[in-house]
Amino acid sequence: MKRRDFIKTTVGASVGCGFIPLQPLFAQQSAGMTMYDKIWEAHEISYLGGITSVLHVDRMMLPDSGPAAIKRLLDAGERIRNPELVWAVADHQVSTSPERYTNRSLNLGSVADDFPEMKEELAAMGIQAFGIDDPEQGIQHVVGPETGLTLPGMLMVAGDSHTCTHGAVGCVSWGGETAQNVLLTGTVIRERARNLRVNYTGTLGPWVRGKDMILHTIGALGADAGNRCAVEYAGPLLRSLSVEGRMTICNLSIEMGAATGMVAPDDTTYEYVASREFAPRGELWDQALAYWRSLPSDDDAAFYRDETIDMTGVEPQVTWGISPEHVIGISERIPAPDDAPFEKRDAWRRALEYTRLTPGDTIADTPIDEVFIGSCAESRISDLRAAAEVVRGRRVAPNVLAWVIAGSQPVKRQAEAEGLDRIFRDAGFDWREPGCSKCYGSNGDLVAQGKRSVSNSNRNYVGRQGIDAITHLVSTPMAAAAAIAGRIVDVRRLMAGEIA
Amino acid sequence: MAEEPAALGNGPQFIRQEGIAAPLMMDNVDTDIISPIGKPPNPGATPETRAFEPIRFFADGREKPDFILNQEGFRRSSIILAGKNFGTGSSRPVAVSRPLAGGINVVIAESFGPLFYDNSVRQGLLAVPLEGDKIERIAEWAFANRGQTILVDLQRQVIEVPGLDTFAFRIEPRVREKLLGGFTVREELSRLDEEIHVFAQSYRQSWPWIYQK
Repeated sequence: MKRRDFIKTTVGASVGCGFIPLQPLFAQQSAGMTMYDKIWEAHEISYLGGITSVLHVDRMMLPDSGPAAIKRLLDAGERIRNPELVWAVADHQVSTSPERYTNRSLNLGSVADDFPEMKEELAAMGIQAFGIDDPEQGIQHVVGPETGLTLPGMLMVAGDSHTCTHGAVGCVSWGGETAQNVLLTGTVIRERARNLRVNYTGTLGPWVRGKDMILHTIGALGADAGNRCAVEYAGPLLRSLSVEGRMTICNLSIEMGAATGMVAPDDTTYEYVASREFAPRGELWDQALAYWRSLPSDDDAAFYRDETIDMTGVEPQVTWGISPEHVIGISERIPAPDDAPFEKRDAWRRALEYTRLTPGDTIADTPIDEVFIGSCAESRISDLRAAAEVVRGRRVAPNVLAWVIAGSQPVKRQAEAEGLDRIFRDAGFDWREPGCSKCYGSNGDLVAQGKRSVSNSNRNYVGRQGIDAITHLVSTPMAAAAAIAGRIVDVRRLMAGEIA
Repeated sequence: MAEEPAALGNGPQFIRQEGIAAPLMMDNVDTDIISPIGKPPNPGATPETRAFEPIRFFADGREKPDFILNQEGFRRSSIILAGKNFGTGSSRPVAVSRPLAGGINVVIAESFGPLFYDNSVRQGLLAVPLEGDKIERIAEWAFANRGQTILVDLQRQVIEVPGLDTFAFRIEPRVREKLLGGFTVREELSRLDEEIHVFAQSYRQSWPWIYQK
């Protein structure tokens, strides 16, 4: 069934993971199309009724367990469909200890050995597999765009929830898919999302960046604002960001409850993509580029919801609770549950009980135990440069355990070539190996029980980084500043010399 | 009682669930609350009680008395009532398999995190989206009628609450068909094998740069 039939049959039809009626959604027959809709329809194999379709997958990205999953299927006599569209990288279960290469048992299960063992077999099928010994290894959502395995216009799927990060290069990407289904069919069954556009306007103040934009957005719109939505980030301020900054924003789309997040490709995107290892070249590049230029949403495309976020005057953000929507500016005071909208009062009370904070206190000067800089949210070279600028010539506070984890081996090499690792080490940071680590508290990389961590990652959920561990989400420079001060501080004041 | 449809596939089947409904009336119950990973199991947890560990147990293994499934009349619940954005967060399959292992076969919520929702469809937990005011009414009833059961019927797409009301719910036709028939995703797709194959062939011709990696 083709698109026009689809539109007719879905107006006011049944719904998926939310109950909100659909009517404004697909009532756009004469209107232009959004980028999400264009990419959706380019991949639509079969319409299954309601809002569900079967879609062709351009890239399946597998984690640590990827080689083992493929091996199981091959051993069972199964055939991998479109293997040349599959790639794998070890990130979630690898140790980030520098000893992981020699003491392989530090890595969970057999993950460190699966990749070298199967590398040739996989390569023969057209599957790239990056284990800890490979120069491309890193966090999936850093590696994909960095290698050019992620390209504009693609439908890119994986298991991991932060796959939405890749949307920053102008593709549609989501997690939650199972390896087996995609490997065997080359397709996914998916419910179509509504289009939500977030327009960023205004200007960014000093030391305010992509992370603050998305945290502020989630605070303003709510952690469920993206329910059943594909979010397109747009607006003049967004356009001024680097692709890496856009990735940070797209990364937290899932924390907004969205199905995915994306940014329409532009010259910034093409410049970023052009030199990548797996990007098309020559005639194929021209062909791809011509297609990519047709992807941005049409001027008359209808959005289910259109929001504008003015960043002028917005401070560096910091979370105080257990949801990314529990967020305030660094000079603000911790809010009281009684000031919350009625339906959120209980949640705020539970949040403050968990984070052991007192309403009315400033969030600044809250003492901390640990600092985590890493994760698919912000561990790219521009993030590490920003952190190093804060750290240069300073020392980590004596009672703080502070880690920096480059998002990939290429980022790590680049940082070392620029001497950033030296700056971090001299200051007292641990400079560790690429992987997911403390972001989700795995493989022994945990925030100690009940301790308070300032993290540049994406989730501050109860127990996320460790049992009873408290997480304050901030930008990378804010995390670096907290490490220096031993408490939550305003990076702007630290850099102005106003904080010792 | 309607006649039981036989399972047509090898996947999880869901037809109806009669059981106690436990009000967990919070928004944004995230997957790190439902099923933490990477940490040792709570010392108090059994395979049946690993779901909701951080709000179910203190770190030393004692039960938290305010958690609904620790309360008399709700320990054997098979249905969870919740607020908005239930299951927000990660794609971890254990966010669905641990509640299932504890006998939770249905979650009725105002909305769901997208990846929890997908996992529930795959694993056969019925995620029912319902308006908040209706969930509130069922929750009030559940507190007032501890130990009594409600019926969630996927065939008829209704929730029957004795003495209160019958609530119709909507669900994607594909999800209904999959769960009633007990199909795996692969079985669903196998019917489309030819169509998928034809599409992939022409796709490869049209977009050669995608294959040039």
